[in-house]
Amino acid sequence: MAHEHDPPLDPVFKSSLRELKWIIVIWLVHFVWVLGYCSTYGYLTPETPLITVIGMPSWVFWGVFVPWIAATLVSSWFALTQIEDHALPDASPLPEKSEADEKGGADHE
Amino acid sequence: MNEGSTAALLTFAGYTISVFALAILSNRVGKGKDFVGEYFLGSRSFGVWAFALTFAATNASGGSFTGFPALIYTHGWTLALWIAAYMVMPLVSMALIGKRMNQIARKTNALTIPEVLRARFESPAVGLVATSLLIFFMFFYLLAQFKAGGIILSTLFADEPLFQSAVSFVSQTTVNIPWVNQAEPDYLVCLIIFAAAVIIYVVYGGFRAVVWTDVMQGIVMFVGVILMLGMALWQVGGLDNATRKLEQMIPPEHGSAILSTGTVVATDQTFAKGTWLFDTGKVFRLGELAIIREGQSSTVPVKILKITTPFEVEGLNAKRISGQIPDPGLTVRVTDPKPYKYGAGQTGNYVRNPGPDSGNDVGFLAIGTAISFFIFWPFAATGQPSNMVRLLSFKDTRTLRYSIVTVAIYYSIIYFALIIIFCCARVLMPGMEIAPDQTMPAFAAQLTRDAGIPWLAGLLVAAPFAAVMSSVDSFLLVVSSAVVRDIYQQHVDRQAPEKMIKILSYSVTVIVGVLAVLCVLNPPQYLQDLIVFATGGLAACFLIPMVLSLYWPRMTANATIAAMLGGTGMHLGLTCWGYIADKEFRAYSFLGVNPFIWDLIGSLVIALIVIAVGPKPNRDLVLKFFHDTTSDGS
Repeated sequence: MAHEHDPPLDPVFKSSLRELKWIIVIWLVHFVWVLGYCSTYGYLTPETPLITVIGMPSWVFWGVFVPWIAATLVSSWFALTQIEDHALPDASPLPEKSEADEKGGADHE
Repeated sequence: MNEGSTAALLTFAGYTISVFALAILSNRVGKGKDFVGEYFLGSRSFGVWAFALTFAATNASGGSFTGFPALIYTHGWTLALWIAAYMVMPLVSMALIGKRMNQIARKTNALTIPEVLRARFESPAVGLVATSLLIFFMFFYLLAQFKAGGIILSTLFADEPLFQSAVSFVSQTTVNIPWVNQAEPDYLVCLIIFAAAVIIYVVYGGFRAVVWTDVMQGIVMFVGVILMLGMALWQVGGLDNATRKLEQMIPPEHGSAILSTGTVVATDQTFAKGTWLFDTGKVFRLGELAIIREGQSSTVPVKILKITTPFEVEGLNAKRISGQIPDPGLTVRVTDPKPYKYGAGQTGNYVRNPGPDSGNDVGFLAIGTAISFFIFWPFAATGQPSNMVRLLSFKDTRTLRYSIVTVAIYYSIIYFALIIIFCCARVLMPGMEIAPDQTMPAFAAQLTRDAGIPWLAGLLVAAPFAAVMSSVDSFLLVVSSAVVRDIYQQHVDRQAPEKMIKILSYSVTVIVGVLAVLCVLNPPQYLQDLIVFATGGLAACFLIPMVLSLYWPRMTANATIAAMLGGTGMHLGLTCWGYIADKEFRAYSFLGVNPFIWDLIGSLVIALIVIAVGPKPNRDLVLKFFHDTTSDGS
């Protein structure tokens, strides 16, 4: 796809793609934490004694509440320090009908 | 007129006046700017607070304040796991595609989601398919939210004499109008008030008014939830006490019963839904209106709820003895008991997974379902066009970054508070299983009455109303922009003068609103299922095509169309399968996996196949959207 003399990749595209990969990783870490903990400690039989932490069942505290706080902190840290700022283009006036529009499509060799 | 209903009326009046004031203000601010860009996207000028709160409020639809509280009340702490994916939702739904989509929309002056896709491939066919699917699914959304608005208002106004007079007048006026006369008069009045308010401020103020009212609504929701949290924890005696009592609770028993007076009655005797019934120490609640006809001594079988938790039975009997709850003195003969399929007769289920369930014998939240929801919430939100269109409106990347932080904190507080509040509600307010959707307004009324401040109920009930309103206005604008911008301007008259576009935009907004009202006069029986159908359908249709279009240079117009139709086809196919297999209008969970995941797989696979066998992408478009053509290398 890329040619030797192509201009460099768009910096917004590059940084957005990098951020997308990290967002998936953050989601995955919380997925494993929440589902792993809750499936192990949150599905016990009703006869098991209930342990509470600050008034919540302990599986809610360690399996939902703590990861929720962690997710909020990580999201904030990621947004404030890892998402790159870019000057976004100014919206141009409504473009005239393009040649491709006239043809009804744009996929071609 | 009681104090609570007067407060409710005043709250609503104050709220509506504020909304209209914001619409007038936004109309003035928007004057002199390009009409289409201003009306549909607020000239892409929104800063952190406006952008963050409009995103948060649009997402937190009526469901967050009606359906979600009902689920917490019915199933207990398991809802914490059910909603847990909201912890990463702000980051995923805003940052995954936000910056890149905003850049492409600005580059191509796109104002709507179909327009972004159309411009990315310079293909009118892509735009047309996207517009058609968006209008199709979005209309179901509108119907559901209009219905929710009408229901919440009717709860708010129920005891208001002025409202009762209006209901009586409307009932007499519409008695001979076909279709309209089938609607309940109180619901009809509220639906009309709600629809008129939303349509007027959307038409007058456009996207800017929608965003500004979202900000106000977001604040109302936040304040309402925090006040309720404080009062609920205080009245229940602390969270630990609430959880310990929840542990002792036994799910109630649904069923039917014949109610008897023991003697023949001289005139018809009616007993309203919600009436408490006491019979030899047992306590029941009426699930529907019951009538003992003149000359008879008993009713036909009617729906009842049997309270089974010992401390609730004791408490209700004590209130009967002290006269706080009237006893109609009926004998209750249960004819058709329907205990919970999971958790019946057991304590401890409200504080553990999977949670009690009246209709599912594996409980409310099996681990497979929990896994599915952790995938569904953040990624389905990312695929919703009403969220995507907001990502076109922030003014710079700094706004996006700070808004992610704001929404993350906002959601953490709101959703966790809601879980705690309605776990407390389960302890403090028995018997709401007869009308779980009324849990929020009923608990607001009880909390404020017990705290000696009934006037505050109006403000608390304004929170769900604000949530519904902020969703309706957004969907209304998304649908009307799709018609005006993506159909008329792209395919009928590209050079249409601004005056014509203005008239068309206003007309389409009004027509779409009126059509939605007409459709929900008699909402279809499976409306809730239609909402699920629309949510899943929109995400199935738009998520994969949008992500691939933004991040993969090899994506083509044909593959985008194929992905949209593939996701939609899979969604429709699984829905049909679900209907055949379970006789329910609900997509089939093949291999126990959430249908949304199959939809995404279907959409992705078909896109990959079309890319593999189809023509290569247009090199000019790849250069335009993936390379820095302003650099020296160009």
